[in-house]
Amino acid sequence: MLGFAVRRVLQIIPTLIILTMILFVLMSILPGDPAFIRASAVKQGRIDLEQVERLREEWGLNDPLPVRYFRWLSGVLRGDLGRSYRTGQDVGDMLKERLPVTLRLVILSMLVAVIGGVSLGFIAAMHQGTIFDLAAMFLAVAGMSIPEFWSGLMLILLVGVTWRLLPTGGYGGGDLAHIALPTLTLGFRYMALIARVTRSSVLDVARNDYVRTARGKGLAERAVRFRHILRNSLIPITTIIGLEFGWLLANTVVIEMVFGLPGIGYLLVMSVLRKDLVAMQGGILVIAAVFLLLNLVVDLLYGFLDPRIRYERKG
Amino acid sequence: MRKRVSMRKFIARNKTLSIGALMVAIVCLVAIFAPVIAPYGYAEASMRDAAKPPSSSHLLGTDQYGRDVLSRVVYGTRLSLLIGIFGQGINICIGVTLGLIAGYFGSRLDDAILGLCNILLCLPVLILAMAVMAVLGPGLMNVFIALGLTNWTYDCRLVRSQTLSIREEEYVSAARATGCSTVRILARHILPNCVGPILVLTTLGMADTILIGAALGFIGLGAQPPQPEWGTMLSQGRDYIRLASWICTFPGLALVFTIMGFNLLGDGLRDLVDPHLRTR
Amino acid sequence: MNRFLLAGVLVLGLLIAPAVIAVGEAQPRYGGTFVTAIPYEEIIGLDPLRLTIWNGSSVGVIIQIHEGAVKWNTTTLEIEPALAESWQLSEDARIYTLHVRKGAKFHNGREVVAQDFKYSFERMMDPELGGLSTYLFSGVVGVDEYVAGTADEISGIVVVSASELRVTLKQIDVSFLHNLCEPGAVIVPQEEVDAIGLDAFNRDPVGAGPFKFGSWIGNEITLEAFDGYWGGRPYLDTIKLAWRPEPGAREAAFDAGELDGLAADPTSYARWKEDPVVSQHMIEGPELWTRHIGFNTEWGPFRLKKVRQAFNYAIDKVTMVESYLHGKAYPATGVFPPVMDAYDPELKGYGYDPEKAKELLAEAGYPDGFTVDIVGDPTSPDWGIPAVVAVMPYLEAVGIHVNPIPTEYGAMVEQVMRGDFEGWVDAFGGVVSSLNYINGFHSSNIGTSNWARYSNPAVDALLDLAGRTTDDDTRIAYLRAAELLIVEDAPIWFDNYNKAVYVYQPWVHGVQPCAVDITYQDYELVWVDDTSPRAGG
Repeated sequence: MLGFAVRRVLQIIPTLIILTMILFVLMSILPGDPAFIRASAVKQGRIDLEQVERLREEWGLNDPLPVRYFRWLSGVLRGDLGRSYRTGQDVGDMLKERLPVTLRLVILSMLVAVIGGVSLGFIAAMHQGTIFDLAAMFLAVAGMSIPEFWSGLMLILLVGVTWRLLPTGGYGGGDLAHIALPTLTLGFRYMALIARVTRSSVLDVARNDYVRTARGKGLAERAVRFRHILRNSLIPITTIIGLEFGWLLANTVVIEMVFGLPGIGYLLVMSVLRKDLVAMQGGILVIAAVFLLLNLVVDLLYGFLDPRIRYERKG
Repeated sequence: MRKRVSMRKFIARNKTLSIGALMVAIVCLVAIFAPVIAPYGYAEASMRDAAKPPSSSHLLGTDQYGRDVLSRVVYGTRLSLLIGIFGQGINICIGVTLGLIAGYFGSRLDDAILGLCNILLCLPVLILAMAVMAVLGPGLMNVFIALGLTNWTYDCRLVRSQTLSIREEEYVSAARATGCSTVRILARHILPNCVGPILVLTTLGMADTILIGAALGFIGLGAQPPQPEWGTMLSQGRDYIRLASWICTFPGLALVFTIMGFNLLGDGLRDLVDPHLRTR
Repeated sequence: MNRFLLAGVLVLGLLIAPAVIAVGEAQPRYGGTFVTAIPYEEIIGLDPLRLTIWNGSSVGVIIQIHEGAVKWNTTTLEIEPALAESWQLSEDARIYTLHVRKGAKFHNGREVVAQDFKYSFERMMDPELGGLSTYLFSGVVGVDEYVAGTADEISGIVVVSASELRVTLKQIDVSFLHNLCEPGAVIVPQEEVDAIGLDAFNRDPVGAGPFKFGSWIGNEITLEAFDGYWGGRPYLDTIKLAWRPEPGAREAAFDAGELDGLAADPTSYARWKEDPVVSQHMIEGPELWTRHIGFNTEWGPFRLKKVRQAFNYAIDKVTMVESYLHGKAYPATGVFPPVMDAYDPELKGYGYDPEKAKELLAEAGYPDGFTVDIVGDPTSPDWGIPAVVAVMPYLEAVGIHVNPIPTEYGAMVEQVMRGDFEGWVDAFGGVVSSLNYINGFHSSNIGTSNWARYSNPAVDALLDLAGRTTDDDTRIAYLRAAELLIVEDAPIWFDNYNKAVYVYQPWVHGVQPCAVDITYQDYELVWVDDTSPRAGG
């Protein structure tokens, strides 16, 4: 198990490095001069062109690409992600401020989605063919098809504006009232997917012989359900959790925009729109790291659940 | 007589597929006949009628510029479908090609291509697409390119695993023994076996691509004004959610309908082709 | 009998009168917390070094914590004493002598002295520190040597004594005192900056303004009343300012009573001006911003005055302001908004006349119109691409086909300054000095602030004269004459002046219309009565 874990971790590092290289190259093709952008924070032409040149020197923008890349990389390894072109703030600090917001949203949504999805799917499977089942599965398809930015807006309209039950946006220190709607919106799609997979995998397992055998042996229905069915369905469920997690993470970007939450997603969008290269690179790096780490956790969990995986590691 | 009965039976047995197909057909028809269906042009505006609620002259109301929401939603079907078609089109070209190569030739090429997939999979597609759009700049064409370049890994892996399993089949070895060219083998023996799964993947992929495309539009990176792309319309309507909620509501409903249609169609196709198909 | 009656009435009157007066005129009350939301962008820092006047959110907070030598009276826009209690100008108008206010203290208790002025001004120009508002002092003698590194200090800034500072300019600059009102010129204590370093000072500043820095958590900044403020302790105990980018969220928070005061956007203004309660607690007034679409006068059709005038006649500004901006703007007649001293109420400007527009286009040789690309900020509804989208139908109707090109602001500035564009959309202003406001039309600024690349020797001459005239009335006459010529030449489409709208809860008093930016409230004048849920002790 340990060997497996170590191997997986080692696989991440070169991938990340190549990713950063590609990103860096992409970013440097970006049109627009970052020094100018910073200096043009002074609107209406009171731009000191000498200052632009000074900034270019200071930021080493006149150096060749590989030099700049290694400078950036060595900075990253030291923990220094550079300073935002737009605000001059240390990118590491900016990310540190925002990471808790995003993580909180992601983790809460995952919990809601997993618990809700598994329960829903399990119950739907147990009551296969009933109205409940059909309704649940319709909701599941709807959940997959509804864009979060729209459902978020509609929830704001209904719950925030019309019924005035909850605040319509902002983080408010992270209290439940402010995070409820974003969590629900974000988790809904994930929950839908998990519910569907749970249902089909539970049905698959329930049809299996060994379950019939267990029932035949006279085990109580509930024991049969939990011990055999659920545990064995966990593998595909874990798979889907892992595979779809990317969507969840990507959509935090959108949700943060809709609800005005000061997280990493918001930062990323703003830095893309404003061509703030340094902040963008930092943001993408963090998201990639979080993504890969969580994938790793899922993989390890997967390996734990299904011993076959630990040994078969080709594609 | 027999044909009609089996058609009805087909629909009854494949409910998901039928409903999905119907929904997609509706969207396509609306897109094709948009100029006929839409009462106004999508950029036609009357400032005096800005932000008016649904009425007899504007069935879905007007937006803050005085443009008819219904007409814009109708024309928006074209943009969404184009995003899906072009995005998926590029995905298929890249993904299928690389998948075939990886699966058939194996060893180093396979490792390289899988490695490339892994790098792309470091980040969710939306974020990759954002990064590409950051370089290319906003605009509809760039959305096609961004989505096409970042979303092909599923196609690739699917085709690769299909190729791997078919490669060892007897008829393939026989073809190789008789001196068939590689391209011929790929094209005539392997590729046809992938069509089913690729079809399913592409249909589901349309749903995904349209969704991500709309998300890019919502962020501000998509089609530019005055083009009536649904995601962009949602972001423009955001400030008006209290004053004129219809500006946001209807484009969103259209999106849900379209995406759901493709999802149902894809699901239905998957049940037909191979219920256990892992598409992601 | 009559005498007793009279006496009785008098006594009664004397007893009742104070009660009547007390009810009629509410007395300012000390205490309470004021919560407001900042709309623009996130607060990036509280050190004036790192900011420019265009970082509206940060400036709104900075001016509570810090104070400069002088400041603008928020309603009249006249220059008032702040940390400098008086000043003199030499005969040749190049030497300013500032007298430091006695008894003005920093938050750490130390008295403000002239050396603090010199330190603050020099640090903005220090090339190593990268201050962005260098234009403020670039006209001071000795600046060039300082920036080049050949001098250790700016020779033109002299500390004559602890209470007297003398600043010598290279040439007359009638706007110099206005520069000192800008947030880039506030006075900071050197020992505090040195003690914790620039980065920390940016997040934990010490100044001499009416409010002390309290805390900065996430996007919310808390300020506390400074007892030692020279103007007397402000009424409020605490102010909380939070950045809330979503207009809907701000609106909802205000409606729920979570915010005490808020600057309104057009969509919330539309709702609130109909609301019986909120409309009574709303102040509005012009802000110093002129929205416009500008023309590259060196490109194609825009080289011809008739084309530019046609553009102006083609658009129905009044309906735009009513329907698109929901009344939250004033249609523009010329360059200056109504609140400025150089504003000319007699100036007529361009009305809505699409027929005349078509005529002019035909006369200019464009009977079928033409196509033009307009660049601008992608999202701002007032001065960005959305505003262009709003006017496109009017222009289309006279044959001018517009391609809106959303461009990130920095990229747009670079493009426009290079002259590589056809048209742009933006707003200029934000400065109180009317000369600075209109100076973008001087031909010497082509390549920097003269984006339209407009050149009219008569205008140049008038602006030069105005720059040398210290008599206010004469200067205003020159500026108005220049404005008349500029409006006639139409290097831009004069869109509208922003209407600043501020709503406040019924328990809030003392709010002022601030023409520079309504979020730059003078919170030391604001107080809350007992009915506030945050009224404090």
